[in-house]
Amino acid sequence: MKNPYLPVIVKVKRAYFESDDRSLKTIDVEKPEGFSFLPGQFCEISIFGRGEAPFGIASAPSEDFLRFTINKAGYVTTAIHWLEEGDEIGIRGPLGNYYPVELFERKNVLIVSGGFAFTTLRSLLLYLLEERERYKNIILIYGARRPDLLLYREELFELEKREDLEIHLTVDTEFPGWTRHVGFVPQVLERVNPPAEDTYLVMCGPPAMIKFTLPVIEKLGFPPERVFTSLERRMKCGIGKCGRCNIGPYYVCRDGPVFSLDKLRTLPREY
Amino acid sequence: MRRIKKEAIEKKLKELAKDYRIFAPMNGDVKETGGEFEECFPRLSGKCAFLPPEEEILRYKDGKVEETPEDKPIILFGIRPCDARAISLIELAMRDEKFPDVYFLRKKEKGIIISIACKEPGDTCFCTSFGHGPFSTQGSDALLVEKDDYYLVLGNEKFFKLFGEGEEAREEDKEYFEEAKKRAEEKIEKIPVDNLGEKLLSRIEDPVWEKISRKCLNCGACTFLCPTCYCFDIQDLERSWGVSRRRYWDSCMFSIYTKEASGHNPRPTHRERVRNRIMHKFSYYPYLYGEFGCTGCGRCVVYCPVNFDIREVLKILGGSG
Repeated sequence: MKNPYLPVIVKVKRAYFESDDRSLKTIDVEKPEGFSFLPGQFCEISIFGRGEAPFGIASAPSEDFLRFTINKAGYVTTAIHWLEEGDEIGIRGPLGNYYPVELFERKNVLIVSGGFAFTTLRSLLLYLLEERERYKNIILIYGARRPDLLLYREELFELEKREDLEIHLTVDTEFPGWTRHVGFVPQVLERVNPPAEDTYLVMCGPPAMIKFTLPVIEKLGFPPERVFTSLERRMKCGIGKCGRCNIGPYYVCRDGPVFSLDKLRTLPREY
Repeated sequence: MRRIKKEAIEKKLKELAKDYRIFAPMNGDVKETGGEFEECFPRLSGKCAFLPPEEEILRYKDGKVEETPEDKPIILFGIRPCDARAISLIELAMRDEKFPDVYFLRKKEKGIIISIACKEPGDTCFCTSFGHGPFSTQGSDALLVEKDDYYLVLGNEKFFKLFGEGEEAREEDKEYFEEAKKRAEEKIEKIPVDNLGEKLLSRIEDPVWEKISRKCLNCGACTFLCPTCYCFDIQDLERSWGVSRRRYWDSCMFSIYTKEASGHNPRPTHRERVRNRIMHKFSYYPYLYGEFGCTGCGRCVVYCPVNFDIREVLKILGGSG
């Protein structure tokens, strides 16, 4: 019997702050041998002596490192923010399900995101671009309060130059030097007005963004079975045993974190 | 059916304490003993043998992760059939092809569970509601029924190998067994559970949950004493030699159980937490594993400090009203 509780020790290859306010830190860690995953899956990161917490994988499956971007919020994330290059951490994974990429083939894909919920969507976007010809139009709408809070922005600015990809970046209010969209994600989504036909929508963002985006999605005509989101819950074991992350009979760690909107609508609103 | 002298079993149990960890009811709770046991319906259930209240799962030492070594195999002796069955219900959640809970399963696979039939059920028992009863053998390697200075035994090879075969039960023993079983079963209140899972699911937004949960203190006593509740927390303890990662019983009744670092709590009030406990046992468990996550042992009724009675809740929510 393989013990799913044992983490693998990996070294931190790079550790740097994403945002000017130092609330978001990205760590790139060694990818253990044989580690294979799909976009949307997550890992339990161990800081020994502090504990474990789950984080979505932000690197693409083909990259030779695992990337996590972590908001400093609690006991474990604070310790992750202390990490420096060369430090050792434990990881368990990949855990959970993934965005249903097989459904996306020969379809349009619309990615809508806000703030630091973009992590696993970077993984998804890069994954889709690797075999670009398998998918029709790819559109990304991504917003944050300020430009420095847009994750991986330098990379996104590069991707903006591609012709086979439509990227709409937005910030809440005007900033000196900012020439892209200004306004909240749901407003930009309405302005961009993407066709719902033949399109899968993947959405991750803070609760406020989700709340105001849902009516727009409905207005644009996206059926709930073609809208996917990734949920977060407090987790411990990450493998559907410790009990806390259930929504109805499903465990977010084991049966999620990716759920379709029509599935979520059959469940109690415990997220 | 076999019959074995009580003395022989008691003596054997003490001998086995050398190679096994013996868990048995003692001073009112199931605990580790040197082979002694007490005839009672213990407050702490048999689950603590296989899912201890606190357990180390790994060590981090000199930059390496080590699995916590296995201990001696376990004999869980003298619990009631409802507790034996409860362990088999926990096993449904722990046995998982992709992510087996190795710490529970290893103990369970090497362990032996011996229950004593419940000849005098209490007035809070409702085990027969779930298709088993005070004499049921599900989850037990052996079921013992006291008769004078003998135990009548329904057991498997694993049990007889350890405890000896005794002698063939007599005709009168079998009659005694059937009579005692019938008498005990008749004493137990049956609660209607037909389509209970679906009924609960259809009433998940019912305002009645608010009323039901109002008096609950969220103390968690019901979940710790429940023989089928298995939720746990994981914590790191720093030691001089490194880190000991341990798991501890946890409870869905506690607010912090689901409270996130951001402060957001998806089950913020008594209503959601009580609802989740009831739904998990009577709707989600049958949906996932085809069995109710309750054995009707009645502990949560007996030990609730505010007399929250799960039987009443099931009658309200499972009935037509």
